[in-house]
Amino acid sequence: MANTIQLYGNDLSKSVEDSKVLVVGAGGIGCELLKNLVLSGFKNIEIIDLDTIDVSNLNRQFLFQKAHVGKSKSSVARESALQFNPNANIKSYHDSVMSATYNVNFFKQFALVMNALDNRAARNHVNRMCLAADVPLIESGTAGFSGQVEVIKKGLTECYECVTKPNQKTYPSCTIRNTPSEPIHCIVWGKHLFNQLFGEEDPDEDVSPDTEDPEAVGDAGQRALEKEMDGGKTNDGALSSSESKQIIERKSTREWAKSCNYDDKMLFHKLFYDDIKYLLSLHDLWKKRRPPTPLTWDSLPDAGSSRAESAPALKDQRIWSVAECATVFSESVKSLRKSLEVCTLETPLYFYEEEF
Amino acid sequence: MVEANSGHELTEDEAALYDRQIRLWGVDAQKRLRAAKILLVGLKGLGSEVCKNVMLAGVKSITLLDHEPLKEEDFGSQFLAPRSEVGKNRAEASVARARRLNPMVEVKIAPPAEGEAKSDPSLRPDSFFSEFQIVIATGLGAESLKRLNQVCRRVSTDKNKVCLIAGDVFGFHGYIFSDLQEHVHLEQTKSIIHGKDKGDAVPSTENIKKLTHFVPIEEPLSINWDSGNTSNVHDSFFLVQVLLAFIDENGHTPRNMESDFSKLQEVRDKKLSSIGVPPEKVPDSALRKSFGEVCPVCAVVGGFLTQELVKAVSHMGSPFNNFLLFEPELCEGIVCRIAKERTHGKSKGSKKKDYSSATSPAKKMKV
Repeated sequence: MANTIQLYGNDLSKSVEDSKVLVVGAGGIGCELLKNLVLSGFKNIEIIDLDTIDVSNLNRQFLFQKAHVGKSKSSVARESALQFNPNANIKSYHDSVMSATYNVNFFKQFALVMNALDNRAARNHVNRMCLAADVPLIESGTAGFSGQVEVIKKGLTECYECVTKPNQKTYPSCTIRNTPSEPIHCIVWGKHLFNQLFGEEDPDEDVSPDTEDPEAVGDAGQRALEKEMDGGKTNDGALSSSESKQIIERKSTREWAKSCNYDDKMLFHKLFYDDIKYLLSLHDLWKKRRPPTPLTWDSLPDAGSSRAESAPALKDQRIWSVAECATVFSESVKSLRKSLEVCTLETPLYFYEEEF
Repeated sequence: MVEANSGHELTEDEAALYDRQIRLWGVDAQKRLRAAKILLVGLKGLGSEVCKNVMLAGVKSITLLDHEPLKEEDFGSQFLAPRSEVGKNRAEASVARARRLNPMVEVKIAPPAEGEAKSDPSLRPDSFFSEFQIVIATGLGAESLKRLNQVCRRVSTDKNKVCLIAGDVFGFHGYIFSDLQEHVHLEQTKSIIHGKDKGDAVPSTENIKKLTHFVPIEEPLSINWDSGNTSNVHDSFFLVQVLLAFIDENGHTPRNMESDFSKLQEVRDKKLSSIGVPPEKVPDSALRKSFGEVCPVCAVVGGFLTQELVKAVSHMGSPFNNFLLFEPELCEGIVCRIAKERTHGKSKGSKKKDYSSATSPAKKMKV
């Protein structure tokens, strides 16, 4: 370390050696950071991460190897980094930094906290804890080829929440529910469906057709009027009375799914036949668009056909046929129904995703 | 060369391991990476960063070459060699941990050299270099780099081009130089074509082939600035030239402030006067910050260097041409093209020695 002392000077070198620092997150940034800290001469380091190691981490989280898959990230990161500098003291926590255990007094023991997180909720939390404890925070993040680092110090700089971050891109509900045109619209629809059926219900995320689509306002207005006059019944021949009742009364999708015990085929029929039939009845939507095709479980367009010959070799690169999609849908519903059974009402299932 | 290498399909294991980067740069880029053979010269701090990154990216093979033994002072930035291996050859000491980073990549050690090549990798026979697609050179002085660059160009054939990417970390400073010769890359332009009506947007991607001409390192290093206009060249470039000259004379980067500082000042004065640059372009304060290897600087420069390697191998993304200078005061990577002429194959427009038009304005990368 003689070199480092020459470059840093005695005072800085001593501060580096004496300071206790906290690394929050042992992912892509956390692994690099921990390596740089032990090589730079930091001796007292604590690292916290609630996650376990997955194969897809190994291409960048270089402190982990295949044999570590399933193990605690913070604990394996500690062991690997100690090999780089056996003189360091590293303490690891396999836990959520948002747990009440890590209170203001916990944060006060550090000279510096470094965030290497992947989600905004935890970033906000650590930001607030560091402000309360008056400990400087270095905040970081990456996405694709980009990345950023900022220093946050109470009274000196902006904090993480001083500037409102743009929300994740949202899409008009009528695009998602009625006229999706890009793959991302379908992904958003899928996430909304998940929350409707298994997660926290949000009325703004209803996946049923949107009757207030301004584009279909001619039909919808008439429909609403008829509904008012007719007590919910319409005289549109395209829909059976039970179908229209189910949609127009806007019975909670969750309630309905529960009432049929999350039957995969009934759910499929509602989402990909009844709802599509209803959308087709909104004629204005399809004047300049290709109209959707209702699907029935027993006669899916490409059931039984095999595309295996022309398909790419890798399973992640193959495009599923409609029949394969239906099978995955059915398996997912069954498996999520099982997960839901062991859940209490207070904790519905949630869709975890890394923040980009 | 831009056409996808269809020879080798990725396995499911590879697809699972490289999933996150395949999402970023695509299957074709990954296939090209996994066919690439890399030579890495120098396994100090920067070398170990590059070795790690290249291993993780998933190339076919990496050959490690270092002509020096592992030293105690390396441990401030070298993380591949265990501390118990001091005195052993640096490449040999690093190979075990390197292998663990990715069992799908073959890690080799360069065979022992003969004669003068024992202390200078650029003096190895041409045939040693011809199998590689990329040679990464760290820890070498100007003369060795010039020679190595010539070898790379000399052994390049239509079937296999050997590109040179050089780099080093001097204290808080660092540089990268690229010679990809004639490099073609695909630039993807993504656009959404909007139909007349809402909801008719169709995303479309178009691939455009772009050709970039590079020059060998001899050219920028031999420019005589003749007290001319250096305003488009960052001062760090001249610091790098002083440090490369220091390695030529001493066989190593400056490491001991007490014994090496006055030597470094002498080299500075001699080198800068020989290329017509005033000595104040490289003040003592900059020299003082160029001792040893600062590990976070190795991480940053090693990251950029590997990104250039990925671009070179995959033919995707615009490579920088030809220098990246890491500026520690501002924490910036400054990219500039330093060459005698802006365009190759055309005659010089003006006979006057004015290199201000020969260098393209610096682009800055905040890091």
